[in-house]
Amino acid sequence: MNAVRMESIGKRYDGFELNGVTFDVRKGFITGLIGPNGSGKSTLIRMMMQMVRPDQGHVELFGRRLQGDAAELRGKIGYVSDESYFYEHLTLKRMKNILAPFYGDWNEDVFRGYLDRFELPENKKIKELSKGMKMKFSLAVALSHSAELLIMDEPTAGLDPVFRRELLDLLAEQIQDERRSILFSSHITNDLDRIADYIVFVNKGRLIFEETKDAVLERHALVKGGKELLDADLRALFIGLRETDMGFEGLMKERESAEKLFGGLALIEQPTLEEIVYYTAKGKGERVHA
Amino acid sequence: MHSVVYLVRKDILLVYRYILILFPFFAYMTFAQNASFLIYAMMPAMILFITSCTIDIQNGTQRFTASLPVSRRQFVLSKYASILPFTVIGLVFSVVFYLCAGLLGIEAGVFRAHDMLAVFGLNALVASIYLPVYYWLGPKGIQTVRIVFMILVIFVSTLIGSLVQNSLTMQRWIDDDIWRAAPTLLTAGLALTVLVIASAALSIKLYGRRDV
Amino acid sequence: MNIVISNSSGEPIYAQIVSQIRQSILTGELPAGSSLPSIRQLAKDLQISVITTKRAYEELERAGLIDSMVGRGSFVSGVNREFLREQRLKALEEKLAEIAAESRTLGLDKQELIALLETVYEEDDR
Repeated sequence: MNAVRMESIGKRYDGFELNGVTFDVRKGFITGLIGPNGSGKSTLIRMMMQMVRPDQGHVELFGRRLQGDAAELRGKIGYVSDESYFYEHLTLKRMKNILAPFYGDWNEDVFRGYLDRFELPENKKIKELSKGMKMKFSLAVALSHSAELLIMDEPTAGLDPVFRRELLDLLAEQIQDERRSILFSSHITNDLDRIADYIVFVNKGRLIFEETKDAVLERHALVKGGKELLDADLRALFIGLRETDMGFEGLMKERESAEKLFGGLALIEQPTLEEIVYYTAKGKGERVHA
Repeated sequence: MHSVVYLVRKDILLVYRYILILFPFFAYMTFAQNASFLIYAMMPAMILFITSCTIDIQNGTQRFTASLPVSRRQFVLSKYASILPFTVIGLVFSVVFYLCAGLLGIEAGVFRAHDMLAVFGLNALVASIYLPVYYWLGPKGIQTVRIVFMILVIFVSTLIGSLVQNSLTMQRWIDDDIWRAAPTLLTAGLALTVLVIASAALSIKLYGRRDV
Repeated sequence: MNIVISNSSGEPIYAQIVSQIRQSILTGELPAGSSLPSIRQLAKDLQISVITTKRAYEELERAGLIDSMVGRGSFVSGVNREFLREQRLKALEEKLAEIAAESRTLGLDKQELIALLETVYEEDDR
């Protein structure tokens, strides 16, 4: 079963459009929703929270197709927003007092545990916290009501590298229980994707691919070589290409065809996710002069 | 319906510290002797109510309530329900100041039990106009709406306050024997109920499917 | 049991896990019947994805090295070490046959090939 299913989602805004996006968040796994800024990640996530409604297509949560306001399903989700949405003038303690009663499964001990672990001062006002601290508070709340699905929108923005690593452990702890699922979005890859099982890549409001991370990395090939190797036909075979006076570096969709075309002539490497995002977003574009 | 109770509780916790700020303001009003009982009772309630509504929509806090396992419908209804405790707080305020004024030998307008009913009615009336506008304009117009309604509250309460004190007709409406006033009160109550229901339905329609 | 993952070796992570667990089984460090960490626990400890770990375990299972039982976890199978050694010897033999064929096409005779092998050994020892 899927924790979330997004089916042919369409949404139109001024100067932005989501178009026929379909993907799943699988139960028991960690899914990374990646793509450049403004590619529609946050909108997709807000649709799962029923904050935004799709113009076309539909959303399924825990196997149930959303119709009207399925408020109780939100109780099974731990949501970490990209921007802190708490009442800034309140202390952490009062904010917690406001929100805890809404969750039937609120666990005060678990919450206290996270406050300690994240070193959050409960008598401080939210507006006095740094961006990273606000995110930690939001995470503490999201993890304290036995949510089956954890959704985090750009959680690592504003976090220091030490806590980012700690977050990996935290998420791995959550997923020890295979009834739980995690979705995070990020434009900074090579971050949480160490532990991601599935990668959903959106760019300019369209789905580029949805695959296991291992398959994504093994399938693509990063080709580096001298510029004399390229001609118009070959250029057309790249997803994205960066050419300088020193040579070229480009991303190809199939490792096999890369081997066939450039084997022995150019360097063929496994790309990182970041390189895949970069070259897909960039396309073949202008020739860059070094 | 638990959630509506928790939402109202949230509204009160949001403006908790503003209650303390209201104290000196009303102390001044009492001693300045320039306000009727209606202002004492209406002002704090409406200030607290409109402030809580404003806090609930600015700086992206709309997403907080939208993330809770509470339906939009319940959320809108909770705003209407919050008028009740805020009015009670306002009445407690005014009674306290009225008694203080009495103890200090200051003439602070005329106090009538009927006025309490009028305060409930007027607050419900203002809120029924305010909330659809609040949901219609959303975060963008919130500050303007806030100021306009604050002014409106001062204006309406002062106007009706002086009318009650100075106009014989109004005096008779409110001051009269309760049995003779019953038809008028009943009609007013009924009209108000219809207005509140229509207003709530409109607010739910406006906010129910809005993207936040 | 230790598993050390390299991110820069170019070898897929699941393959690194497979070869290191296989090694531990062959050396007897992991005797038959001993239990392996759960897939999710291992993923957590190595800070890698559950799917990668799952793939490694599936590979080990297919090679007959471990048995996985639903709800009970994974165990080193009862396959005896002698048998495993024989299997690997067989694989080595196949590779040597390949090398012999390759050297024939290059025109090397048996003595030259052995000499070449000795050089390789010496280089390894140094």
